[in-house]
Formats: sequence, structure tokens, C-alpha cells
Amino acid sequence: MAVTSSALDHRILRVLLKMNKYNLLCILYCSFGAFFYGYDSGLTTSIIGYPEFITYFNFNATTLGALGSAYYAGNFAGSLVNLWLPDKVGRLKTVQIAAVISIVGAGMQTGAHSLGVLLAGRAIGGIACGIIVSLCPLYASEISPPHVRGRVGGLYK
Amino acid sequence: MSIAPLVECSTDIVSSSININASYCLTEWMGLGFSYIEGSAGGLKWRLFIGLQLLCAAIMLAGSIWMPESPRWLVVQKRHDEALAVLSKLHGTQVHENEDTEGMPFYRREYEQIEAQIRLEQETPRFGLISILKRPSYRKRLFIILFFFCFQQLTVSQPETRQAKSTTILTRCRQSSHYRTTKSSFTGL
Repeated sequence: MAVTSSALDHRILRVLLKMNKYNLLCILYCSFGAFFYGYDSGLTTSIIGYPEFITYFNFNATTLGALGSAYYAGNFAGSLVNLWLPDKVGRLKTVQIAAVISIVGAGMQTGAHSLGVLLAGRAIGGIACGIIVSLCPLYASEISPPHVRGRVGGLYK
Repeated sequence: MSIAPLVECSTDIVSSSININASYCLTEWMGLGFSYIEGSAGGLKWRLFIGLQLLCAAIMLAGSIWMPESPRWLVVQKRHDEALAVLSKLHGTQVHENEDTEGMPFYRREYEQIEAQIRLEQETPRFGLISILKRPSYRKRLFIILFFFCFQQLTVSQPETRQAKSTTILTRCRQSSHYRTTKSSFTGL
């Protein structure tokens, strides 16, 4: 059966409008988790274009690689935390814990005076983002009404 | 017919991936913007740029005050009253005109369904990792998933590594930093 794109758009719109405002805000909150991840992980690609940043920490090719990898190592650890923490303390508390961890990590990065502190802050921030980026789709699918609930959680896990 | 659930399923996934890409894009443009800040210390531009992560985390933490706990998790924890309260707040106004409601509100029927599903899951024995590895057909599926995700990550992600290489090369070519940030905001590299 052929489905035209306008029919598809109409369908998505109808689905989105068929939930109450509070529910829509909750789902938007969850998708802010994706923005959070995008900002945190995306910023290094721009920041290493700043000569001041490079000279401040005296970067070379190896330490630049470490800067990129520290974050993803943290991501890995954060995703592993998701195997048990959300089931144990609940989805909402896990998001709150991750936000607090992220504040610690971002604080370390912002105030960093040595490369060690910067990399440690990056790794800690990575743990927080690893938790949020894999938990938010699951959380969103659990609080959304059944007609929009996808296999999002399964896909991201 | 069978396309309907698919369309509905994809809404969340699409919104999430649009969000990630939009924020990548925005971040690169912000990076370009911040690179024009002139400061005697020089630390201001990158400290400001990194420091905005604090704002994201603070929004996440502040927003969580109004968020409900997942009703599914509450049912698993046997906190049934709270689960029902959350469902009524989320889907209390839900109207499904084409279904036979039998006088029962929508959120109530949803609650019954969640509870029945969780009871079924708890009664049936769990599929462990070992049983998946033992059976060839499941093993094959597991490997396909692992293969797919690993290679997807290897080919698409890790912008930092590519950027590190291109930055090193460009620094050797002595190109201006604005050129580099502009280039990165267009290509995302």
C-alpha cells in the first residue's frame, strides 16, 4: 500500500497533538537529553580550532587524541551504569544523579588549569552523558502514550 | 495496515536523532561565534564555551522537578497507587473514540495492561545471555546487531579524531583559526 508523504506528515502531526500538554513537555524534556549529549560531545570539535586553547594546554597530536577519547571512555562507563542503576533507583533519580555528575565534570573542565584536570573533567562529563543519552529514549518511551511509544528503548540499548 | 504502527513508532526516534544533529550543528556555529571574542587573557572564549555545559546540566536538573517517574518502573516496584496517579496525570485526557471503552477511562486500561505485561514477564523464565549464545539462530542475530553497531560507530561517529587530524594538518599549513572553525561549522568535522 502506497503512503504519500503528506499523509505521513498528517499522521505524525495527529499523533503528536493527541497527547496533553504536560505529556508533550515531558517528552520534550527527554529529548533535551539528546541536545545535552550533542552539545557536550560536539564542542570539542570546535574548541580545538582555538589557538588559545591549544597553546594553553600545550596540546600535541597524542594529547588531542586523549581529549577526544576520554569523553567516549566516560560514555562507555556511563552506558554500563545504565544496566542496573535505572532499575534500582528509578529513571528520574538516575537522570538527576547524571545531571549532578555532569555539573561536577563541567565545573572541572571550565576551571581546569592543567591538562590532567581537563581530561578528568571530560571523562566525568562523559559518564554523565553516557547515562543520559541511553536512558532518555527509554524514559521517553515509558511515559509517552501507547500510540507513540516506539521500540526506542530497545533500539538504543 | 501494518505500516501504521511503524509510522507511530518512528516518531520518537526521529525526534531524538533530529535533536542530536541539530545540537551538533548549533554547537559548531556557537564555536564559530565564540572564536570572535577578543580577550587579553585568551582563556575567556574557551572557558565560556565549555562552561555552557553547566547550563545544560542545570536545565536538566531543574526540569526534573516537574517530571514524573516512569509508571512501568513504579509497577515493577509494586508502587501501584503512584503508577496510577502518574498515568492519570499523563494520559487522563486521552480519548480513543474508535475503541470500546466499557466505561473505563483510558489511563486505567493502560495501567491494567502494564500490570499484566509485567506479571507475565516476571512469571516466565528470563532469557539470559548464555541461552542466547547457545542457540545458533539467536547467536547469529546477536552478531548481526554487534557488527552493525560497531561499524556504524566506526564509520560515522568519532568526529574528534577526524578533527584532531585535520587540525594538525591545517596548523602545519598555517591557516587562520577562523577558517578552521568556519570549516568545521559547515562540515561538522
